[in-house]
Amino acid sequence: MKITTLLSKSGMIALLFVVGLASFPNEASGQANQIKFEEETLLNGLHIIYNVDRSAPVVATIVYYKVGSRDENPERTGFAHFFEHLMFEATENIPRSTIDKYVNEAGGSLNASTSFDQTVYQFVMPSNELKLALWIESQRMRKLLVGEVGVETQRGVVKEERKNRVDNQPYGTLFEKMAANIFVGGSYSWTPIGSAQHIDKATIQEFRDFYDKFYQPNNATLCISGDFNVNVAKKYVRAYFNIYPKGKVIEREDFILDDITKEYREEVQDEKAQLPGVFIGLRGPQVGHKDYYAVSLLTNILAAGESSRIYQRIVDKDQSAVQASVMPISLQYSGMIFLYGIAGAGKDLGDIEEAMYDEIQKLIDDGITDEEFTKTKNINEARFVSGKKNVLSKARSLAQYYAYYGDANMINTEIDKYNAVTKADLIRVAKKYFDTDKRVVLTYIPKKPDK
Amino acid sequence: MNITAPDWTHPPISVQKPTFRFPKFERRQLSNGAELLLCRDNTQPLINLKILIDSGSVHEDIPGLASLAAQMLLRGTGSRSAREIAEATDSIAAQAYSTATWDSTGLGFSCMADFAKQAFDVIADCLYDPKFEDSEIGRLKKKTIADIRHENADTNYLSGLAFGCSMYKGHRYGHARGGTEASIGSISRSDCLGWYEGRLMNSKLSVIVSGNFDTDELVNMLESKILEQGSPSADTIPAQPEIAGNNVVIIAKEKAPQTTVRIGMPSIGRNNADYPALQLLNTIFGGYFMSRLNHLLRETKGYTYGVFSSVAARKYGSAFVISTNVGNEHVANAIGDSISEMKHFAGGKLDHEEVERARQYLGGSFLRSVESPKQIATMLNSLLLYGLPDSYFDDFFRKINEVTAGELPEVQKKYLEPNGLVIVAAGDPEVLRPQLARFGDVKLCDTEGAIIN
Repeated sequence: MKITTLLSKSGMIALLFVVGLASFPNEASGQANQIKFEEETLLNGLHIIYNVDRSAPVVATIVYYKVGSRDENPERTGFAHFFEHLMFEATENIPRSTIDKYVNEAGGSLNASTSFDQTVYQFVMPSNELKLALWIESQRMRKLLVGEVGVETQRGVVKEERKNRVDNQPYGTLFEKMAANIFVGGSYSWTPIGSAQHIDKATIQEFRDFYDKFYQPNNATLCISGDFNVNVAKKYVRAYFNIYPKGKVIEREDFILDDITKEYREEVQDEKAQLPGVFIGLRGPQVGHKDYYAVSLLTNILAAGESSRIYQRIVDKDQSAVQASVMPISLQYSGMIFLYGIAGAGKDLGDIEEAMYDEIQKLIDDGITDEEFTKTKNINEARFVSGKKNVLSKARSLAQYYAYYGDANMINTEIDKYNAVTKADLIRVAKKYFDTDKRVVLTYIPKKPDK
Repeated sequence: MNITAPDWTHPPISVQKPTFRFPKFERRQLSNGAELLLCRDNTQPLINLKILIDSGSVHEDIPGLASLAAQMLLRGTGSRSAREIAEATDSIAAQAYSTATWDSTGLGFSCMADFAKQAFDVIADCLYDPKFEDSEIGRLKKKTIADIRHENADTNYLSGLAFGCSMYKGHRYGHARGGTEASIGSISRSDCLGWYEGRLMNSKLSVIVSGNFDTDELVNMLESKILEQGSPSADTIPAQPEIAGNNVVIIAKEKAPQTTVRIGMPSIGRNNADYPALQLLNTIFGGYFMSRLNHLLRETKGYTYGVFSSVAARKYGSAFVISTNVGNEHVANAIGDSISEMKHFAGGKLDHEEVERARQYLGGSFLRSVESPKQIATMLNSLLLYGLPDSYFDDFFRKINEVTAGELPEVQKKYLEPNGLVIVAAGDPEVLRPQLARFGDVKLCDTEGAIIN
């Protein structure tokens, strides 16, 4: 349902990488205001985080399932995302297409997203409707109807979504090609949108097996944030979730990746693109890796804001690109650093690419100024604080920290890891991750549609 | 704990109405008369500050000038280049902006509270000493024209342009707010300066601040930089035109696979006592997924993925508008059914249940929109711009909960009866002409916003 647009300035390009959020690096906290919360784990393994915040009469719930596209059989890609759709269909007691009606009727809003590592369901409700949110989430956890009608309907819907998000978007195949080559040999090498053929071929029983394997209380984290009474919420949680037994422990294979041995380069003729674009992928650190914090701060210096090095050089000075940026995309077991430039009319992609490498080389050779170092720390701190601006973002962060690190309190402490990064660390990671020709370079060239 | 088995068959939707109080805020005045609206919320170390000037695109003589001039404020001052402005705000992670809307120009920032003074110094410099350098104007014009070309390929944008230019034909709202290729191309430095000196320095100026601050320090900071505005000339913007009969307009996007349709008529603004009731009625008619119109066009007929209606209320005029994207073969049917449904709705009965459902929805959406200091600032902005009383949002919330079923039929009849309509279709003219003829004489709108017979 939810689509993260990574690049959408001036509406020129809206790209899809994951079918949902890829934006976790910026949700945590500053030290000024500690987030208080309470946790418990039911006997069936469901972990619950309660965070009371009475600043507005609303409450958010997050149910975070540790199942993403990496958990899929490579012959059955798209399953995790398919379930994100199916979870809005019907349960044993909720008729088809009624979940959104109930939520609408209660004055709430809903959404969901699927990534490589997780599938996340969210509600934001007026504070008196928490019970409804939990009632729905409980039924979806173990009472979902995985039957012909729902599956057939969603097969069609997901195909349409793929058409919209991939086939009819400028640079639409970009992230499939990027993932396939950056994460070669690993279970990140396909993207959450998956393959329409795989979904078509799958039997109902395969969908049921997937549901029974991953949609279990011991594979989920529930977070409630907002204006509610913890004791009342605990009562609802027990009534609605304690009834389920623990699921079978999920055995996951070790995550492996092949080495990237040389540069991969491909030119794509694209009927949907209006302007040529160059997209460069480098292997990056996974979430929580010791280099993860330094890489994140380094990319701010390269590309955050109009005063950043890449913007100043390529967009402002050379005027070869109308947009250019760098961003880390870190996943649970690996990561990517993504650089791109969209050429102005009549400009050369080769110049843009060269200028990017040149700016990185300058940074490595000449170092970082004190002003830049202060700037990136400030940007980071502001991002942390903004990431807690409403109950939904807090609920999402708490659940995510718990799921990734087993420590929800990282919402309060992760900033320390950023603060510990030194200028020398930035240069070290610049050399380690950026100074390489083991990269994936995709160029997209606009093509006139065949009449 | 002793718990009985949950009832899985009935959704536990609470019928109890949540209570709501708009956060406390303070009105003050600077010694030079500028109005301040301040809402303190110290839960996060963030501050939002906006300087609001009551001059916007509605006042411009060259389409796109208000917007371009607003953006130019951040692109160079007597003492800072565009790059230095970006450097100064980026270095303290302040998100600075300067934009024009139809009715106003807003210049401001969001940042960590500790950096408020530094950010404000930059913004005040941008407001009072902009350079409007030719090279920067040229660069921004180039970018704006590229954006316009891109938008001209989008039927959603085109339908909005044609709708606005038809609904407000001959009125100051009846032009392309973002400009057209020709109008942007024509803008010179003296146009920007003329706008700046004539309008931005001679209109009512107010300041809205929300988030984490000390009120006395903040007021001192503002006193030190905010200058007295020149005296505004009288607002001579006329009432919006009346619409009689069907005004059918096509805006062309050759070979478009889908058509964007907009159907609408003049409506009322926030100051009107019927506005909350109309919002409730709009919800039932077309304001949300479970509306009558969506049920008809999406669920029953399958013409569209979704259809929505809304009241677009501006300072000098308002419009009720239905918007949808439909397959090319369904355009005439979708328009015909929408109009029939309006007629039916305007004179028809409402179920008790659908009214209550819409109340819940609208109330809940409202609560979700007043969560953060940033959202509060947006609402305070409306109070200032439209001259609404301090109790406006509390009253609005109360009214949507309390308006009685007996009061609604009069409002339905008054504001939703389709007497004079603007009907716009953006898409392939070859497909559209034959389908639209049954609704009236078909006119064309070009990408400059001109309506041609």
